[in-house]
Amino acid sequence: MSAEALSVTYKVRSGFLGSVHREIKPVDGVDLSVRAGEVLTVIGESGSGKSTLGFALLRLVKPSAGRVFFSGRDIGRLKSSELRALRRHMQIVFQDPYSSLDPRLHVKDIVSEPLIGSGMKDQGEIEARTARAISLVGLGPSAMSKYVHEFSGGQRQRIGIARAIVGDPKFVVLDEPTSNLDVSIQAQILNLLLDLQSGSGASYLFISHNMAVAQYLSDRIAVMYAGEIVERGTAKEVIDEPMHPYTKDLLSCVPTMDISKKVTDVKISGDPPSFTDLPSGCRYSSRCKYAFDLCREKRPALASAGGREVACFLYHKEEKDPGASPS
Amino acid sequence: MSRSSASVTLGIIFGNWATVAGVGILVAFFVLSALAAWPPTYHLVARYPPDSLNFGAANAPPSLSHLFGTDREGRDVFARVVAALPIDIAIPFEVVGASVAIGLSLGTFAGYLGGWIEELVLRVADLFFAFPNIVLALTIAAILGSTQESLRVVYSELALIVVGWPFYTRLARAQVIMIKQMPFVRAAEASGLGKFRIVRTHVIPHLASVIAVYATLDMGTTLLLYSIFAFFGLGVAPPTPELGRMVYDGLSALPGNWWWSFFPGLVLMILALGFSLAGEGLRDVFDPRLRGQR
Repeated sequence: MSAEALSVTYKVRSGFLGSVHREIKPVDGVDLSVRAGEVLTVIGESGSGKSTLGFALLRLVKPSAGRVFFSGRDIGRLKSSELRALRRHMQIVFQDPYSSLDPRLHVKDIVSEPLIGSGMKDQGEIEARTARAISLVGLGPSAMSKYVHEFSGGQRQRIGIARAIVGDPKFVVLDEPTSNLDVSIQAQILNLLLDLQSGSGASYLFISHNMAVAQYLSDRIAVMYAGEIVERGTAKEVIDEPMHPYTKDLLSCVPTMDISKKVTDVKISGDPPSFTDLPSGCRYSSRCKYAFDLCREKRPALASAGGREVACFLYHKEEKDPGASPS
Repeated sequence: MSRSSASVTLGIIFGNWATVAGVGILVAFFVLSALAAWPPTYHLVARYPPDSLNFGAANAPPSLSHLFGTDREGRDVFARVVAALPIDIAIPFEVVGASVAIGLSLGTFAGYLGGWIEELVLRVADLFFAFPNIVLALTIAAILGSTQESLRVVYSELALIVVGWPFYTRLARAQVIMIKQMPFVRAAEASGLGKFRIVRTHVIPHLASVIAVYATLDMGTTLLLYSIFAFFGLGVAPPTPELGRMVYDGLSALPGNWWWSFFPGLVLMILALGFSLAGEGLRDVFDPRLRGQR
């Protein structure tokens, strides 16, 4: 799964009778590739566009620009029937295990949807694959003909995961799958996801705002801010030696159990910028304590520095042209 | 193993006294009206024919021989009430059924597809909302009016359908707009299900409960609206028995011969109540989340 210069644009109407039209870009020119068998975490604050990015990769929202490749095919050019047949191989686990499962269907009818959607007709095979997915996520066979309201939040999320894996997906978007769950349940679900991922060799795009979870789960981390990726590298590099000021600030906000690392009183000042009123130049420049004149004039491109990719002029001072191509 | 869905449904219907009462009322009325509608079984429910005049027994108060008394012409009120049941039960089903069918398809269509189709459907529905519905219905029925009674019944029902569908269109459209934003609809899209199947498996079942509740309430209202038609001479005509007509005919005799209007009115009320209680039971069947909360 990879994306080239992917953008999503929404039109916003405001003012009297919607007379003012504005465009916002929650995803703005993102290049991304998730390698086979890896877990890539996209991390960022709420409103950074990370969920929209996940939806756009699966074409659940239509990108306004850019292309998405899945198994070497540009999914934007597929006929809708071809795309639908492909969908069981590119799945998603939603954030809310309550509203993402239809309360009026039996669990087996929810879980088997990707199979039916891909055009599978053989009832025996659908039943067998559904039963297998349900047992893989640790639910008993009796779950098949129950309704979702008979389950707890953690069990519901297992049902959501069963739906995602039933069609042997090659790529799964996990849209903050644990953020609505109790902490004690979160670890169980994360371990389940890791087991399923290593068992299947699928690649996962994990969307999160939780650094600790990202560190635990991912091979690589991409940090997203205001619709752009600002830093990307292996999980260890990004967590241990963050380079982009935003990543540093994010990490300094994470409480730690290590008493030798006292939580210094570093907070990120100000609010994330509104998509309707982005700062010119670097989008973090309005909150960045290192910002200098160039930052407010030009947008830094994501370019390699120190073994990873960073979009910050602190590391590319000599580059006068911000159009340097990211990999 | 869990119970089959049919036994679950039966369990819900009979697990609650109000639903049992509602279903019981409707079943009792259906049986009564079926017996009354078929001439060979008519005598099982009523002793007198509904329209035999007997001036010797006119204006008799309720007694053992005339349970609901007799009217000005000596007709047995009980017999007339029983004879009115088939038409009074059929009319709300026909009118509300047709309104729901039109409203549900147009509203779902408009809400799911959006764009200019939605605008067009809504503006046309608004047109009908601009008039008080009883005035509009009466006008339509009067314009269509016919001297033939069978046609008059059809026209008056048509008039009620014309004023009935816009409500269900708006209701369905509003619900669809809400439902189509639910993550489980997005999940169904992510699973590759087609639009038609998503509407059928995820959207309509969520609409059904709301529509069923409004439709059953509406059946009672339709019953009453229809009786207003009879009052203006637009629906059924005398001597055909019809409950609403009998209530209005009896009003002039109040408070003296109260039984002329009281018993038809009471039966109308019980029938409307039956529709409401049964409707609530229906909602529980459609919505597993509300089960057991009462």
